[in-house]
Amino acid sequence: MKIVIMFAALLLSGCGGGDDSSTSDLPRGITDNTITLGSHTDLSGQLAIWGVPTTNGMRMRFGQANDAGGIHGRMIKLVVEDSQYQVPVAVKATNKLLNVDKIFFMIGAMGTPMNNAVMPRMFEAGVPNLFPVSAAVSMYEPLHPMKFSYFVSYRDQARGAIVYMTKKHDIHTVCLQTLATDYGAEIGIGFEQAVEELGLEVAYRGSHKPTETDFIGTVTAIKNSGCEMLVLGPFIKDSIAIYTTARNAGWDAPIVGNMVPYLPAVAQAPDGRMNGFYTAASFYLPDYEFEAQRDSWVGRWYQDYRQAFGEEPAPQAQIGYVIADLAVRALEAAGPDITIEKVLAALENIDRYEDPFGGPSLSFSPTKHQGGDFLNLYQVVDGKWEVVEANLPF
Amino acid sequence: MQYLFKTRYEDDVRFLAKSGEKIRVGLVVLFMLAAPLMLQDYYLAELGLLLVYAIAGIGLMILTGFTGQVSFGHAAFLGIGAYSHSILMARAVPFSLSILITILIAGLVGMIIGRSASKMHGFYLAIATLAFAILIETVFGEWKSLTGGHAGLAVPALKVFGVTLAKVWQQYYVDLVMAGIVIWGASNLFRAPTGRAFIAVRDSELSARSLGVNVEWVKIQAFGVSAAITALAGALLAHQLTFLAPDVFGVLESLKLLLMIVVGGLGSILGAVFGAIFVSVLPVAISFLKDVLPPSIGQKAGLEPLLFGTIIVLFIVFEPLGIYGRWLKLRFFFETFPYYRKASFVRQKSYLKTERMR
Repeated sequence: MKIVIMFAALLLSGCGGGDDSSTSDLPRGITDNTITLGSHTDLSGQLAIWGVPTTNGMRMRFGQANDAGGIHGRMIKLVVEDSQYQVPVAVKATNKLLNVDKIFFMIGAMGTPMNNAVMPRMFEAGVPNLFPVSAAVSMYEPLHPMKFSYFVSYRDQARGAIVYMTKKHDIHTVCLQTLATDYGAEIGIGFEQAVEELGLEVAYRGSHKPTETDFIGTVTAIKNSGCEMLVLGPFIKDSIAIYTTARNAGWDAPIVGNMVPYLPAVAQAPDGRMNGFYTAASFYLPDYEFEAQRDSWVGRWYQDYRQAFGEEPAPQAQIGYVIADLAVRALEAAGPDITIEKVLAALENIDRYEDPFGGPSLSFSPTKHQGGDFLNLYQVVDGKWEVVEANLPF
Repeated sequence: MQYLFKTRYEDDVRFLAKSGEKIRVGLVVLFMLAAPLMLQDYYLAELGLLLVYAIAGIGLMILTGFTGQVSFGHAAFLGIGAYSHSILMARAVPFSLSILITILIAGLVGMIIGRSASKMHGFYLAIATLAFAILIETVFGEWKSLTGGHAGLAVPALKVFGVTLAKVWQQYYVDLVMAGIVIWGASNLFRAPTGRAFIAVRDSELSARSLGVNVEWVKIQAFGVSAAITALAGALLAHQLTFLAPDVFGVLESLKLLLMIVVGGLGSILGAVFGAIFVSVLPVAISFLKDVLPPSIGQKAGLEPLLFGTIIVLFIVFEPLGIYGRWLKLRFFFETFPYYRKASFVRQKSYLKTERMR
């Protein structure tokens, strides 16, 4: 009973605090000197390795904007909630961001099922979902004025890579191994599209659970199926496991992954184990330490990040930084009399945005809400990612 | 100290015997009924979610707290409830009928699981229920024609007797009514022969058997009832989430349910409600605490699980009986003031455990 009463008291006290923002005719999330943005992301669950650095990257860019005097005098306030990569927690977090913090828009929200779960209620409240940390097709399709995606989707990454590789290496038989999750399903769709478009033959198609670690059976089946190229859609650990198992088994056909295993740590696997592995991604990861020595923009960014957060930037921090940069541009272009419509229009006006880290350009238009214009195809050469082909269409 | 004088037969079967209890429960009911008038949508949605978890907690409490059968896989029943209700609603089955069918399906699945679980004890039971949960999660992911697979399933709007209840307060009242029915039903269950048999099986299977209780059948019943109630919570949860994906009902969710009833206090219906309050209110409180703390601490990743975990550890170390146990002691302290003694809660009798018949 005590606890119930305490709970009631907590609720009532919270109640009084939340009503002070509706005093003038400014849009939700905007006051005379602040802009409140929200994000729900995984800070402590299985994908915290993505959630923490992207959040840091966003905080860093918004911090810079605030240090430079804010957006037309308004300071950006980013409210981040931990979703622990669980749908119910993400729903609760979104309810808080929408109803208590009254955010202007959502940025960098993590996870495909979490975003799918909360988007309807966000749009009902008139809050757009900008650049979620998910490369699912549903982040920008069907076209909706309030959905914008930074990534080229997993589907298009797979399709672009297959189209390029099959033409370049004269491949007619392909096979696919993905995770049995929403992410794997997306890659499967891109695979099917490419197969149909090019009239390829599918020799093998398999999936595995995230907990699986042994792929000898899978690799033997792939090898015996007579396929000429393997398309991969697993996470990081299993990508490495499948690739090394296949090479150990003496199978040397090309193996293509997507942006998920495109990480320095994967290329740096000992003994050049990952040499020859292809990935397709719509962004470029510079060698931070190399850049730091030659005092380039990326080098200074690297030093600033280390100073701000006391740790090396993970590559995902760069993505957080870029999406925050896109948001800052749109907010600035919207002018002092800011409304959400103006911000969305400004986003749609972004044309050939050059990512400061050197990846393919990004463009938006009223009919194109997926940012990436092109893909880059990378390959591991001597423990480092090298660009095989830049600006690949998909 | 208040003495109860029983002057009528009804006094023996009354739920709220003491006047203090009546006042307290009355106040809570009043607060819950009036909540939509006082609270913002966010807090109301949280309160609705709290009710849903309280229902799920009571479901698990009947199995684990009252029948002594541990389950590491109750999220599976939550999932069965959410999915079957959403699938039925999407096929234009009316709400009330859909809820009934959902409860029946889950109850049946629960009894089938209970049939095999009734032969298992301890670790074996824990592993079996865990395996069942993983199995069901896989089925949700692979049965694409029905569940939409990993791409997920949108939950149809809540519609009762042709009226769409989209507003937060409308959904809240649906949850409140359901929670009321479940609490009342569960309280009644434990004064009926079935419920008494559940408790007898928990305390000593051997004694229960010698008193003529069919232990296997009781366990099957317990699994059935527990699954049905949890599935009801799942159906209501589906409307709160508006979108279902297989990983919503993973192992973590099962552990959360178990944690809820352990922290709340095993073996009491109130404990399940306390547990639900704990898991719902604490994250909200931590999230507001984050805004107050300096950014160097408040913005640290993993603050929430750290605080959450610490509080749970403290509870298990210092109050193994859970929040309900603490509440009993507190009440006892005031009722017997100044004669409260710690020894009142030390168990006097110990039973000899000689049940090795297997």
